[in-house]
Amino acid sequence: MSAGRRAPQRPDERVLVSGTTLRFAVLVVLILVSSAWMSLLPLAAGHTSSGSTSIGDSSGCDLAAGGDPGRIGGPVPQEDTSAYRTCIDKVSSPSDPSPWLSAVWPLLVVAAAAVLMWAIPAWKARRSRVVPLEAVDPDGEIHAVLRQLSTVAGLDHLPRVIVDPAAVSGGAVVFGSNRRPTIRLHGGLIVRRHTDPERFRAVVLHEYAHIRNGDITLTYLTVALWRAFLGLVLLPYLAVLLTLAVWMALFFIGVRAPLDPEVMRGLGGDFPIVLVKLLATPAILAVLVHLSRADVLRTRETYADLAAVRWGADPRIWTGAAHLADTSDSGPRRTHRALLTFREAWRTHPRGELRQESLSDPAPLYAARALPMFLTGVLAPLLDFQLSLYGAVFHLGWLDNGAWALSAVLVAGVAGTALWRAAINAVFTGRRPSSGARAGLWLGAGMAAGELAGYRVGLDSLLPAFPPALLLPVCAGAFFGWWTTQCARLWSRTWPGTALRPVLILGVLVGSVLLSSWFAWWQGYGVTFANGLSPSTQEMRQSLTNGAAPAEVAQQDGIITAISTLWPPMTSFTTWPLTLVSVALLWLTPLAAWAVRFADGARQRSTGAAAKTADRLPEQNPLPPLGQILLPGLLGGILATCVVAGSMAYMHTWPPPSLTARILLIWTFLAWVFIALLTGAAVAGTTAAVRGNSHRLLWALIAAQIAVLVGLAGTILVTSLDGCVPQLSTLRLNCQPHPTPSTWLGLRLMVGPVLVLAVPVAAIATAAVTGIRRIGPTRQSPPPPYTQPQPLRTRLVLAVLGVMVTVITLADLIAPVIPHSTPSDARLTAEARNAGSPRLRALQVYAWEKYGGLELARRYVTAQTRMKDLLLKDPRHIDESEGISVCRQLQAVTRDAADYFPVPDARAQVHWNAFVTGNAQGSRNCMRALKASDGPKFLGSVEELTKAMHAYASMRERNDKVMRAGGLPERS
Amino acid sequence: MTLNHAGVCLRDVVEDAVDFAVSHGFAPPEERRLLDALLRDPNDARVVRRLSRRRRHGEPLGFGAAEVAGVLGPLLMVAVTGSVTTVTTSVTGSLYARLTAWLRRVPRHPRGVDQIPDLSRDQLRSVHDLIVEQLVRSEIPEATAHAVAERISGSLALGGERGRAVQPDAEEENNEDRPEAG
Repeated sequence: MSAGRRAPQRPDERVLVSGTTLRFAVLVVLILVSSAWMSLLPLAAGHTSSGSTSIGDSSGCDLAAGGDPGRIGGPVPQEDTSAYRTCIDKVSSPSDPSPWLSAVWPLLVVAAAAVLMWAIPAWKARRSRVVPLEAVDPDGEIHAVLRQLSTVAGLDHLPRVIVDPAAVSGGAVVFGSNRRPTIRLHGGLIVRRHTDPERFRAVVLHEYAHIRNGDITLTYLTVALWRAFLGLVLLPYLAVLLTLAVWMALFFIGVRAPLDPEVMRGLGGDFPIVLVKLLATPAILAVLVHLSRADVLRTRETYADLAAVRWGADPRIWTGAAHLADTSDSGPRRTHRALLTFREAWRTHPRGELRQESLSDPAPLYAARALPMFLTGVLAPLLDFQLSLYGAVFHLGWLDNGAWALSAVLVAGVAGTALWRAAINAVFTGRRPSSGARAGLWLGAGMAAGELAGYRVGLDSLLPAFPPALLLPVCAGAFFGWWTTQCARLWSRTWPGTALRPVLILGVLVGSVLLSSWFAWWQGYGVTFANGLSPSTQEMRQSLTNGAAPAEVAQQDGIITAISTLWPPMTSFTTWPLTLVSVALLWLTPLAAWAVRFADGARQRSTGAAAKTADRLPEQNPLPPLGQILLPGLLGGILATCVVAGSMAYMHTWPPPSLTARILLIWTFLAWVFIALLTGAAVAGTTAAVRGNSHRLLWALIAAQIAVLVGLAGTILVTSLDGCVPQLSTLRLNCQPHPTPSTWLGLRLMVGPVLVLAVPVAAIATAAVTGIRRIGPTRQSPPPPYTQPQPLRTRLVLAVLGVMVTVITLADLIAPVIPHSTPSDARLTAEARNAGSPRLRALQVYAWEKYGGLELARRYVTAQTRMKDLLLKDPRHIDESEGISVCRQLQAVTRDAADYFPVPDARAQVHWNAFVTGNAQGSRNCMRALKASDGPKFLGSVEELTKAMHAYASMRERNDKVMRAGGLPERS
Repeated sequence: MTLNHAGVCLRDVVEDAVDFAVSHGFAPPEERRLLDALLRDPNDARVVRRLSRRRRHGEPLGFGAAEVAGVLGPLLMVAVTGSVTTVTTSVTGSLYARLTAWLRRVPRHPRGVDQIPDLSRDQLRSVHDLIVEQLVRSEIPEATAHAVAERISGSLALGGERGRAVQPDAEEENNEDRPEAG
């Protein structure tokens, strides 16, 4: 790029928040969270070596309860039972140092980082390497220049200046802290001051810009934290892993005997995968931190360059740097461009030519680039699984919600700011705006990649059981990018204030709420689905067909299957309290633009941009007439109502169902309502997208949601006519001015999922319309003429819609039909619980025996032996007091057996049940018989106890079989 | 500077050359002050090692890729050491001769100041050429490079003579265990 090229118009880079401070903060949070969870392994290993307990203790309880500790954050089936609590109490020792140590460990990292924050500047400025400026500037000439430049840069005080005589390049560096900065001038810069004073000036101003921009503390805090993390967490972690790998090799070659099976849980044939995943985490973390830090630093460098030029530095100095970069990059220049981009990603300073280009056109500062978006996406699952793991180990359930909120704020903060800045820059410069979907795709790809790196898909597997599910985060990211960009474009042109910073911050806050809903659903349920564990269809099917005649069931089989398959997953949509708030924000945020006046600030921005790019951005309000958006929504709602009425008329022709099959009829009707509302939403969304020239997604969302609301109101109206209009009589025969209670409940159940599903429906419709428009012949219809909106009518309509949404959202918040719950409350179905490999089942059975089953067996055998001795001693005369004592002992064993976990294997559990029941009955009858001196009854009880003993033996036999099948050694 | 062994101190040679360059207007006065600051470390070998280390362009909050500014003092410390090492290790002859030459390559002063051994005329010429080459490569004007290299060659030659005059015993000792140089 030539230096003399006319610089394009641009917003002042200081007007908007840069977002880099937040990105630094994100790195700090990531390092701290990683310190907490990664310290668990070394601490646990250290504790194990002290011999008091073993790594697998709490995992053993999870296994014994029928859970799979390999699925981090996965539900533990018996977590809320006394058996589980007893098990945990038994295995955790009061002297167990891990909990407090691992809580303290991040504090140690912080303390070490604080020491390093002090030590790094001290080391950089050590007397053996640098000299004070006075040593090379006895007459104070350089000092005077530096002072004059500090005034230009607006610094309060001249920072401490030192000189590195061994540094021969003409550069400088700043370090220390924002409050006490130190500039180290290179010897080469001092020498060149005479021959190239402009360079001296530019370099010093660049460093002053870093001080003025407050870059120093955050930069060196990140450096210090990373180094502390490296020494105190990462290296011990790697050491433990390598030790583990050596141990495993010893097991394989038979030098060592295997450890307890639950400790060896992850060390079987899958160990290489486990090791790869355990090693991948720190590797990904290191790459993530380095790339993110480098990217942020590059941005900060560009800001510093721009500030230096603004303060009077000669931009031609950067031409020299570009020339230098050209020389150094002459090799790669001939190679592929991707290689150059790859190399660039690792550098803390932009390439010379990029720096030079940024001075004339800082567009890259405003772009939502792929790499930062991807890295931000990776961050969310990494944070989430680490916090979940930590919470799971220490039973801190609230950490799950905390993880979603934290991830949402951080991701929305970083990605949202980038998207808003890109959109605002496009408005200012009049450039062709990006849709934001591509940037969002990178964000989503990062989220999917982070999921693979985490352990939620399983510690012993590289891919989830259902890999296509990972497309969901990609789509969610693309949608977030698309929506945010369109909102930013809309609001940056309509915001009444003169400063855009407040609207950007508001936009990011809204984005946080949206993403919190996404993370809550994905981390709570989506990952479970990805792992192949779907909710039971049987339960729903059973409740639908309960009491219905087989003929009726056969007739409605299709719809029963559809409802029982589709409905249970849909109930997960609204379990997060903020889900409906998020849906409302999705369409009310753009809709609210009509409520503000196209005021001076917006007009000024529009006319300002228009003056600069008159051919591209004519002065106009970007909002089309409200009716253009409302009408499709209204028509969609009417269409939905008509479909509902039609379905009622159709169902009216059905033969009246039996009383017991009414629930099936109601569900069938609700299914029709569901289809009708979504059809209305799809039609409204598509129409709005077709009619819109820009912001299509927003218009489609508004129209689709209005269609659902209008359709819902219409449905309530139509169902109120049920029984009043003969042709519509479906669910009742008498006429009442409101729907039946069950219909009402059904509609309330339906409203949340329908409102949520209307969002992807509108998005898909918009994507289809956009795609067809691009493929087809370009037909750019002229924008509608700007008409002054009629504020009163517009605001009235908006108020009505706002009230409707508020009522629905508040109703869901205050009295939810589908209970709000966290995934830790989620219960897996019987099928899901029984899913798992033979190895897992064997480990569960093994743990079940080890953590209580064997102890019960020992007590049972002791009691049985006493009973046998009693009977053999003198079968004709039983010692009653001794007999009662034995029966009481058997009763106690039975009571404890009933309190213990069910056997994790279904067939073994049948025998265990028979044993518990039989033994309970036998011991009770035994006591009664002995107290009443009833011989025949006593013999009967002995027979019951014998049967129970057989059931017990069968259970043990089955357990042995399961353990053998899972490759576990025979019990000694 | 006192000499305990034959030869001349690296720092003396470089200081002399920088003084020469400053007094003849080849370099600004700051050059001398920077050299003084650099040579506050009494260990020349350590100074040279530090100067030879790869420069870090990616230091956070630095200016970034900045061209080498052609600071004479550090350049000469590295260039003189490098060129002397090159010419003194290119000894031909028996294995013993090469080995002892290699062992003598970096004779140490008790305080750590590097001594440059006596060099033959041919070696001095080679040192001169190598220094010129390195200085020109570091964007020092050719005329300056020649003048400075000439000065250094002279210092090395004179330094050797001076050393012999100051320490005749040491010279004898050196002659005993030193193979023929050049």
